[in-house]
Amino acid sequence: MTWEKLGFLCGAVVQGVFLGLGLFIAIVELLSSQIGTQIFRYQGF
Amino acid sequence: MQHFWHGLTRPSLTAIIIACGVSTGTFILLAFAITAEFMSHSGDVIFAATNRDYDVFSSTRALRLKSERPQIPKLILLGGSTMRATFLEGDLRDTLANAGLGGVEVVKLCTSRQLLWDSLAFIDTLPVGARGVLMLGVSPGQFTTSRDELLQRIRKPRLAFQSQVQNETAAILTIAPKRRETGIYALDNIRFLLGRVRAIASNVTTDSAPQMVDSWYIGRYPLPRDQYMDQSVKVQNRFELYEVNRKANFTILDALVKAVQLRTKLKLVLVEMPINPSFIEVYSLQGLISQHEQRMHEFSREHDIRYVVMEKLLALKPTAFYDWAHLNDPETVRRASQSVVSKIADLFKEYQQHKRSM
Repeated sequence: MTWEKLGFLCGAVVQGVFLGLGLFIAIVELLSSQIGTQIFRYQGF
Repeated sequence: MQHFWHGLTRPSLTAIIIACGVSTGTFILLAFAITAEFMSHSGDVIFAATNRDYDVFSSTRALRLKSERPQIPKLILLGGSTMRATFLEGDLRDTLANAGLGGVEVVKLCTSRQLLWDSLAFIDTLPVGARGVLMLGVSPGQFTTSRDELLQRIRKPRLAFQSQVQNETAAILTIAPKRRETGIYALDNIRFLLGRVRAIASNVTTDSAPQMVDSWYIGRYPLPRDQYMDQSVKVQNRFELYEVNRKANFTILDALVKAVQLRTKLKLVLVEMPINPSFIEVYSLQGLISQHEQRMHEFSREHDIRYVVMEKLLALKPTAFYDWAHLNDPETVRRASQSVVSKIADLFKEYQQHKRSM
């Protein structure tokens, strides 16, 4: 295994994890605004 | 080292595939981690947005109740904010203890603007064979709920669980077809969970989840005149829908009574919530309220259940209220618990006999 290949594998994992979590947060935020039930704010009546 | 850095920073398809795998995996992981059981012990800590987020607090309690053994006798409270403001858990516990019913567990499942439709959903969470008393707070306002409002509630659920009874009643009322459930809690309640993403982030990162307040109204100065009038007009507008919508809402109440009688050994008591006499006078609502109480009396006679009118027990003055219907005077609220317990204590007879024989 060359240094470049090792760097490539580490990079793919690190980039993948960060990108994946970012993607997850973005999808959750989008779904939350589109289909999530808004928290009920009681107005007293 | 230069080669390593070059490999490390090179964009690649492999990284994108891993990213897709990580996000999909996180979804799957959460879908199986957030279960009804998880919600029953951690729901309030993680999902509550404020100290008055009763949708979360009551859902969590209801799910907890579902997993409990039904042997311990309970006094369960269902209803809206007026029910929550009229009876405090501490007062009820003390009054029950003074009446020799110290072992009775008080469980308040009231949520703001709880429709009869919402109360119906809670019936599914009661343990099969549960015993004790179930008090349901009622008022003319609950019988004004329109079809559109019900549809809205079905589309945007406020509670953190699904209800089979509600599902069946929706089909009977032809409001909506039966919902398909996957059996995976997080997926079946995804709208509720997604609506609380910000609250989760705040609770998890700050480590200080909101603590529930039993009644926000206690000890508060009455609502300023202009706000009171503004609010009263809106309530009055709702009351005008009573005649149009009461039949469908009585059908829901009928379904609720039948579900309680079929699933549990709880004695159901309908409790008519007090309304500020000055509000009744200003909007000339005496006629509507008398008719409503007459109908409730007939309904309770037909179904062999008890109906208690709090106004008759307490004879309240406008000074006991924060606004059109929420009590703010601690002494009056205490009196409310004492009065209602005196009217329902005999329904725990079975429990008292069991206690004596031990």
